[in-house]
Amino acid sequence: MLETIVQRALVALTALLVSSAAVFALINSAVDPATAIAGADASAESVEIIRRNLGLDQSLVVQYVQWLGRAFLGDFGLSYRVNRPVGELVMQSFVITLTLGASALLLGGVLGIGLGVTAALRRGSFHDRAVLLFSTIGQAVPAFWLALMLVVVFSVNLRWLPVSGYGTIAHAVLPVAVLCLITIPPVIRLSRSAMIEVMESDYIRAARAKGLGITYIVLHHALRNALGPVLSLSAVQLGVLLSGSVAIETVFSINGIGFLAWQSVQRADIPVIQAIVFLLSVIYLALIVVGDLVNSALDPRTRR
Amino acid sequence: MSAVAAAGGRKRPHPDWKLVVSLAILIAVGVMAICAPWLAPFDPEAQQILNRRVPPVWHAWLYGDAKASLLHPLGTDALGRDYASRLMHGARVPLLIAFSALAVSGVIGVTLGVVAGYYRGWVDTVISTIIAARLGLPIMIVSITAVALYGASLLTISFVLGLLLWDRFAVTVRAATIQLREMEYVEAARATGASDSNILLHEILPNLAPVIAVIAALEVGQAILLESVLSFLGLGVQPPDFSWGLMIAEAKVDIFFDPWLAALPGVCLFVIVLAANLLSEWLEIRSMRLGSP
Amino acid sequence: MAGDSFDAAGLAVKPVLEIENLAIRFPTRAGLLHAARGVSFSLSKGETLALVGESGCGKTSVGLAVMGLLPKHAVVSADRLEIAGTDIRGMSQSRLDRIRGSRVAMVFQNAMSALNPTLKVGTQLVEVMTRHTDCDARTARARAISLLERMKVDRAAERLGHYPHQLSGGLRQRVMLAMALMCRPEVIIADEPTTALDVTVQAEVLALLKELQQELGLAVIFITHDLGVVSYISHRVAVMYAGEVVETGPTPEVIDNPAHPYSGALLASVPRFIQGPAAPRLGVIPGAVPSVMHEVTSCVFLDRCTMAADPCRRGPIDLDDAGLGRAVRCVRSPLRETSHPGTEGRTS
Repeated sequence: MLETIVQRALVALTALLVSSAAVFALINSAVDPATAIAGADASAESVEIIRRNLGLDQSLVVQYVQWLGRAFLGDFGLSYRVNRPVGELVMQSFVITLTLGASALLLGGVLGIGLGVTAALRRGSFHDRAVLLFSTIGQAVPAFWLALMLVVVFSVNLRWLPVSGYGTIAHAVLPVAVLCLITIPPVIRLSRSAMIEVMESDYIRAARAKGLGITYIVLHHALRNALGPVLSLSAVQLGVLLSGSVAIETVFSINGIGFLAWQSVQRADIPVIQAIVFLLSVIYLALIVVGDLVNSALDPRTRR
Repeated sequence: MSAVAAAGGRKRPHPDWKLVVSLAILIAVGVMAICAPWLAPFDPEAQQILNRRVPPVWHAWLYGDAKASLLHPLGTDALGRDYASRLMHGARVPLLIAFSALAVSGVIGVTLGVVAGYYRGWVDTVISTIIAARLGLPIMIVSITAVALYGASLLTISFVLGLLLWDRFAVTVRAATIQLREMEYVEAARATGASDSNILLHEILPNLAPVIAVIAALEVGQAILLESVLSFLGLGVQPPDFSWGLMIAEAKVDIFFDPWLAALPGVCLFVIVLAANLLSEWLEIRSMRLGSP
Repeated sequence: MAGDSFDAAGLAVKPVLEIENLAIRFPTRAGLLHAARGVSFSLSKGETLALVGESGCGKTSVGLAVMGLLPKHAVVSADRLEIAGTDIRGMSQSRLDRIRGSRVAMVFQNAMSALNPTLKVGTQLVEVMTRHTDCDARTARARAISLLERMKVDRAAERLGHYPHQLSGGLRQRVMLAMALMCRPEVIIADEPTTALDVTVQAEVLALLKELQQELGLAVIFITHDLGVVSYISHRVAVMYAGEVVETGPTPEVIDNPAHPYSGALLASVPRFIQGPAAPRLGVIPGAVPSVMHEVTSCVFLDRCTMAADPCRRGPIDLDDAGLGRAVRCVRSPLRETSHPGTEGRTS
C-alpha cells in the first residue's frame, strides 16, 4: 500500500507542476509585470530598471523555475500593491476561508450523510423522494444569488443577522449556510447510492439471516462499508468549497482568500494570484491523496 | 433467484416527468432567447425616466401598489427599462456562452477520455496527470484571472470556460471506454483486423453517446452558472451587453428597497439550470436501463 | 434451542419445519412471476432434505422464504409455514429476527461475499451469540473457537482476528458453518454451500456437515443442483421444476427408481465416467424451462416429457401421495400406476 501512496503523491506532484506552470504562463504572457508595478505613467527607463531588479528580463521558463523553487520554501515574494509579503497576506485570508469552509463541510457533511443514508434505508418513500428533490434543487441554485436573497430576508427584512463582515458567529451563519447548500447535494447523492449498494449486498443479507436486527446492521455492518467513498468525497469537497468562495465572500464582504483573489485580479497583483492558485492546488491535490488514504484505511482488503 | 433477476425485479415507474419538464423549460427559454428581439414587449435599452423602479405586477395584487400594472408585468429597473424584456434578452449571452463552452469542453474532454481509455499505458498516465492538474486548479479564480487578462469578449469567455470544464467529460468517458474496450464486439472487431480508428469510430464512440449526453446536459448547467458568477463579479460581459448575472450585480445596490430586481434574474438562472440537471438525471436513468456503461 | 433427545430411529417425531402450499410471486414490469407454486414438504429433526433442481427452479427462493429474506415486494402465501411449531406467515422482520440465527440459520453459497469484508471473522461469529443469548463476548468467543476447532480449523483463536479475505475458500465456508451453528439452531438451510468450492474441499465440507448433523440432530434443507451430492448427504429429496415440487421421497429410492419423468431425465443427464463403446450417451432434456409468468393450465413438464399424453393437458397436476413416503406430481408416473391402479386418465 505504501507503493500506492507514493504513486499517487507523485502523480499529484506532477499535476501540481503542470497546473502551476500553465497558470504562470497564462498570467505572464498577458501582462508585463514590470509595467504593472511601475504604473501607467512610468518612463520606459524605470520600467527597465524594475524589470532587471526583479529578474523579469529572464526567460519565462527560468522565471518559473525560480518562482517554483521559492514557492516550495514558502516564499511567494512581495505583493505589487500592498507592501507585505504575499505569503502573509494569503495565509491571513486563507484562515478565514478555511474556518468557514471547514464548518460548512462538517455541518453539511453530517446533514448530507444523515439525509442520504436515511433516504437509502427508506428507498422509494416520500422521505426519499423529498431528499432527492432537495438535492436536485440545491444543485441548481446559484450560490451567490442565494447569498443575496438570504441577506434580503434575514438581514434586511428580519434584521436577525448582520448584512456583511466577519467576526462573530452571527456573521458566519449566512455564509456557512450558503456553503452548506453547495456541499449537501453531492454528499446526499453519494451516501445514498453507496448505502443502497451496501444494503443490497450479500453480506448484509447474511447479517439479516443471523437475526441481528436492522439498527444494529446499519450501524455496525453497513455504514463502515458505505462511508468510505463518502469520506474521500468530503475531503475533495473541502477543496471545492475553498476554491468556490469568490462570489460568496464578495457578497458578504468577507476578507477571505476568494475576495483576495478577486481584488488581486482587479489590481493585477500577480504574485498574490500565483500564490493563491498554487496554494489551492496543493491543498486540493493533497486532499485527494488524503481521501484515498482514508478510503484505504477503512478497507482492510487494501491494508496488507 | 435467477428467474427473478432475469425479469428485472421490482416495478418502478419511469420518471418521464423529468424529461417533459426539462425539455419544456429548455425549449421555452431557448425560443425566448433566440426570438427575444421580436418577442420582447419593449426595447431592453429604452430608458423611461418617469417610469423608474416600477414593481412587478403582483405587487399591485399583494400590496395594493398602484404603480404596478400589466404594462410592465415584471416591473422596471432603476433606469426605467422594462424588466421582462431585459430578462428575455438576458438569456442570450448565458445560453450562447454555455453552448459554445460545451462544444469546446466536449471535444477536449471526450478526445482525452477516449484516447486515455483505449490506449492505456503511458498515454493514460500522461492524460490522467493532465486531468489531475486540471482538477487541482481552482476554476473560479483561474477563470476570473484569464478573463481579466485576456478581455471579456464572448469568444474569450466561451473559450476559457471550455478549457476549464472538460474534466467530467474526460473522467467519465475514460472509464466508459475502458469498460467498452473489454466488450466482446470490440474483441471481435479486432479479430477481424479492423484498425484502431475504425473501432473507435464505429464501435466505441456510438456506445459512448449516452454517457456523453448525460455529462453534456450537466455541463450546460455548470457553464451557465459559471458565466453568471463571472458576470456578477464584473468580469464577464460588460455593459451595454448584459446577462442575468450582470443584472444581479447591477441590482445589488437596490436589494434594500427593490429586491425583485436581483431576485428575478436569479430565478431565471435557477430554472434553466434545474432543467439542465433534470434532463441529465433522466438521461442517466435511461442509460442505466438500457445497460450502457 | 434444540433438545437432545432422539427416538430409536434417530428421528424426532414432530416435524421441525412444515411447509404447505407455499407460493412465491414477484410483480415485475412484464407481469407476475411465479417463483414457487404449491410447494409442500416437511422436515424432521436429524433429517436432511435435499431440494434439487436446475438454476431458476425456485429452490433458493423457497429457502429465502423460510428465512423471511425475500425482497420486500415479493408476495408469499402458504397454508402452512411453521418453524418448530411457530407460524411465521406474515411475521414482521423484527419478530423474525428473534428466530433467525437462533432457531433457523442459513449457510450461503458464496462465503466470500456473505462475509462482511470490513469486519473481523471473530466479530461476525461472536455477534450472533451475543445477540440471541445472554452470553457475554468472552463466552461467545470461546464457543466460536471450539466450534471452529470442531470444524477442523487449525489455529482457531488466531483466525478470529483475521478478515475474510485473508482466509481460503474452504476455511471461509467452515466459518459460515460455524456462524450458523453458534446458537444451536434447530433448522439449517444450506443454499448450495459447496458449489463454489474445489472438489476436494467440497468433499471435506460435506463430510463435516454430515457428521455435525448426526451429532447435533440438525434438520437440514440442502439446496443443490448436484445429484452426486444429493445421494451422499440427504435422507430425503424433493425435486423441483419450474417452481413446483414434482417429486419427493427417500433419497435412495428416488435415485434408484425416479417416479417423475423429470427426475429420471435429471439422473440420466449426470455424466458417468465410463469410457469406451459401452459408454451411455449423455442424456439431454430437449426444450427449455418454461416461463414462470403464466398460470398453470397443464403439467409444467409437458413440452419436454417423453411420456406426455392427453390427461397431462387437461389441467394442473396435483402432488399425490404414492405411498411409502413418496409423492409425485405426474399422472403417468409408473409409481402411481402401481399404487393407484386404474387412475390413469384422471387428474385428481
